[in-house]
Parts: sequence; structure tokens; C-alpha cells
Amino acid sequence: MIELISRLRAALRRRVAERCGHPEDTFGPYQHKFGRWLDTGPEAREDDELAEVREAVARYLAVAAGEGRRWGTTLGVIVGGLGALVSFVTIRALS
Amino acid sequence: MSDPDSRSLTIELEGSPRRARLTVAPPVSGQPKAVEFAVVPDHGGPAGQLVRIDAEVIFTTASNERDGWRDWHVKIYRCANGEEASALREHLHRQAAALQRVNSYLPAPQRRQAIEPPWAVVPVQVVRGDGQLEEMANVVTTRLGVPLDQIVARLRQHLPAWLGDRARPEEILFAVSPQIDPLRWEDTNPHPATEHLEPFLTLAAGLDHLHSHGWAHCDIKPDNVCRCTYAGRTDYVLIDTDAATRAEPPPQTLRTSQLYEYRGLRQLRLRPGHEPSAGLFYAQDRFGFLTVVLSALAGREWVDRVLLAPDPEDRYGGRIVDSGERVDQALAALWPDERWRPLRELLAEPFGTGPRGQIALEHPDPWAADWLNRVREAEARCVDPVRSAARRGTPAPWLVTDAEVERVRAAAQAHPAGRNQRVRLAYSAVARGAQAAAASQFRLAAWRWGAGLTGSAVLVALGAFVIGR
Repeated sequence: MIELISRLRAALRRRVAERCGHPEDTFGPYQHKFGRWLDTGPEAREDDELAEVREAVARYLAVAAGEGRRWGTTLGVIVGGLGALVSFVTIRALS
Repeated sequence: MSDPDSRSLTIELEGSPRRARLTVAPPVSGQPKAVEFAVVPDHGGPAGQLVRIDAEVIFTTASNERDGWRDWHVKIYRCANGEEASALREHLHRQAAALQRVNSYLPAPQRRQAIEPPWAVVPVQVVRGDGQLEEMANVVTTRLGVPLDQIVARLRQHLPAWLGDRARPEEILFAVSPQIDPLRWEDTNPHPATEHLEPFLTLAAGLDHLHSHGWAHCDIKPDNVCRCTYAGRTDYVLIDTDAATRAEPPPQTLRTSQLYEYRGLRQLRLRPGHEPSAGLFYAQDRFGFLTVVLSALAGREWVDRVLLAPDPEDRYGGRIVDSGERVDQALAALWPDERWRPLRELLAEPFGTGPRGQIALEHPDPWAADWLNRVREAEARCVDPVRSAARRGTPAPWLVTDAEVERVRAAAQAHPAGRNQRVRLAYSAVARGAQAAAASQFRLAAWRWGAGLTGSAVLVALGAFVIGR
């Protein structure tokens, strides 16, 4: 079971890397704006350029989070379905 | 004469209010490198006549035990005799003074001492091997109101054994300079790495000052540009000033790296017989500056392999970099997206022969800062219409919290890196953050669905059991 979970995690890591792509390909086109966003602090006043980069970073992370959520849902439904079946049958049999 | 303790060589640098004491480490490689200088004779001579001095140089480092910069770079010159050492010392002194003058003209509101950053060129102090005082009086003058510095460099002790038994103090000179961080160059950048443009501003301004005083660095290339992070800012700074020379009157000999040689000087070298003009020396510096900026933006390996390679279409043996049109084509092949066109045009323009090409490069008027500003303006015009849809105050997508986005920025800011390194750190942090977000959502969804379905089934079965009884 532990082996299966670690394989699943490795597969998820590969999938996330493939789905999101290399960060340089995503953020390179933002040119100096990306470096500017990194230099400013969260308390700094945000102009259009900084908002553009922040949103791009959030989008990049959201794609990965969405992928994790999809895989987690699939695994949860399978394991939960099996658990539900076993629990239901066990309780029925005991009763 | 020789000191048996090889670690005891110390140098003192005094300049109010700071006082540095450098402990010179023995060199890692004892093999000296032969260098040649063309210098004005020690006691004058016919105008324009230069004396050739052959010297050996050993490179090593030193650490500062007191105030100021911690790590230092040390060059140890050994001349054939005391007279040559004296002439070389005068020469290095003039170089150091001219280059330090450039730094003193750079705007620096927080500078307490004239030899503090910001620098366009890393400052060099000359130290005599015979232990006598070396004063750089009237050198560090500034129009910014910084008081005149008296920098006194003094050799504290006799020469160590690792300089060799034949070393005579009067034949030895030291040139010490603060050690700054090397730049990490990318091989090829699929997108223009324009985050490098800002740290070049100080260097560009300094280059213009240097030329306005009739001097040229003559060896600007990627190897001779380092990064200086100081008081929260990062500048790219020129190092290795051995080849620096007065451009007016133009010298008859030039020490430069052939790979980064300006076409005008290369033609002179290949077809001797003509006198070089001062403009060629300014152009050499500007050409070197262009190759450095392009190495930062497009990748160093790409510049060496593509731009500095022979042009197969040029039957006179020219290189791609000798033609603005060919440079533009090469840049278009590297960054084919049409949005980069304004930037590509500005980067290729100085390699041409027009008024903003060869004519501007060889003219004594300042050029570098203006060109760099125009490049930055061109970069601002490279707008991607798809991406410009972002609006201020847009919330993060619901699966990601603002804190997760901030973690990326915090991870990149956690290291004392320049902006280019910070961008690389941020790429790693984004990739790590993406994996962490995916793993976290994976666990959350798996537990929710797994526990939810199982729990629901247990409740239904128990309910049925209770109702059945």
C-alpha cells in the first residue's frame, strides 16, 4: 500500500511538471516585470504590471493544485467506494 | 628578505573613516602569467613615446580583518628591475586614478567614502613591494561633496617565501581590489532576459564618464563583468583594468581579447599600416558593452556561437556581429515572436553602419546610457495583448491562497542574490510551490472523498440496522 501511494505521488509529480511546464517558459515572457514583482514586498502598492505577474503566479499554482485535486478526488472516490462497500456489507452481516 | 611564514603578508589600506587590513593568502597556482604593458617612461620622454614593460603576474586573494570589504582580489606584479617597477607603478596609478574618478561621478546619495559602491569599475589600490607608502592624493575627487580621500596603501611586512627566493621588494607591486561576485551566464535564453537591463545602468553611465575623460577600458567582455550587491541594490561592474588606456592621443598598441574585438580594430590588426583613431577605442568599449548586454539577454554561449562566428555570406571574412542586418536576423531566429521586434531592432541597431551604428560607436559623445535607456523603452513596447488583460486587485484563483503566492516571492528574496539570480530562484520556488499545492490538494481531496464515502456508508448501514430492529 505504501509502495502504491509513493508511486502515485511520483506519478502526480510528473503529471504536474508536464501540465504546468517549466516556470521559465511561463514567466520568461513577462520580461522585467517578473523581476520587479520579486523585488517588491506584499505591502507595496500594486500597479497593473505587478498584478499581472501575481495573477500569473497564482494561475500557475492553481493549475498544479487543480491537477492534485483531480487525482485526489479519483483516489478518494475509489478508496471511499471500496470502504463504503466493505463497511456496509460488514455491518449488514453483523446485524 | 623572505618571510618563512607564508601566511603573514599583510597590507593596510587607510582612508577616512575606514581602515582595512588585508591578509594575503598564498596563491592556489604558483604559475605566473606573463603580461606586457606599454607605459610612459618614469622620468618622461618624447611626447607619445612609450616603453614596453614585461612583467609576471600572480593572482591570489586576501581577507580583511577590519572595516570595509571582506574579500579582496590581489594581483602581484614582478618586474625585471626597480626602474621598470617604478614606471609600471606610475602607470597603474594613473589607471586607478582615472577609473576611480569615473566612480566618483556616479550618483550615490548614501556614499560616505569615495571608494564605496556604486561602482562602474571596481576600484584598484596599488601597493609597493618595498614597504614604502603609496598615496593616492588628489585622486578621489568628486563633485558630489564627498571630502578628498587620502588612501594610503602600505605593505606591513616583508615578502613571503612563496614569492620566490629571487623576489626583490623594489621589483614587486601589488594591485588590490574588492572581490565581487561573478555573474552566472545562461547558455541561451528563449526569451529576452530583460531583468538584466537595470543592473547595467550604472556601468553604462560610468562608461560614458570614462570616455568623456578621454580614457577607454579596452577589454570589456563577459569575463570582465561581475555583480556587486550593496545597500540593497545590484549593479554590474567592470573588473580587470589592466588594459585601460588614454584614448586621446590614441595608443599605438592595444591589449584586448580578439574574440570581442571591434571590427575597426580587427581590420587594423589584420592590415597594419594605418594609425588608430581615438574613436576606435571608444567603439571597442561600446562593442564590448554590447556583447556583454547581449550575452545577458540572449545567453553567452549563443553570442559566442552565433554572433561572434564567421558570417558564411560575407566573402571578406566578416562575422555576423559585423552587420546590423545579420544580427537582427540572428535575433529574429532566436526570439521569433513579433512582439519582440522593437527590442530586436534596438539591440541590432549599433552593429550597423548608419548614424546610430558605427558612426555613433566611434564618436566621442556619450552613447551607452542613452542606448540602454532606449533599449528599456523598446522593451516596454513589447506588449503581449493577451497578457495585458490582468487587472489590479484580481483575487487569486480559489484553489490557491495569497499566502502561497507570497511564499514564492519570499523564497526568492531569502537569498542575497542579484535580480537575475533572484529570477532563477523564483523559478525553482514556483516549481516547488506548484508541487506542494498539488500534493496538498491531492491529500485534501483523497481524505474528503475517502472518509466521506466510507462514513456515509457506515451511517446508512447503522441507520438501516437501527430501523430494522
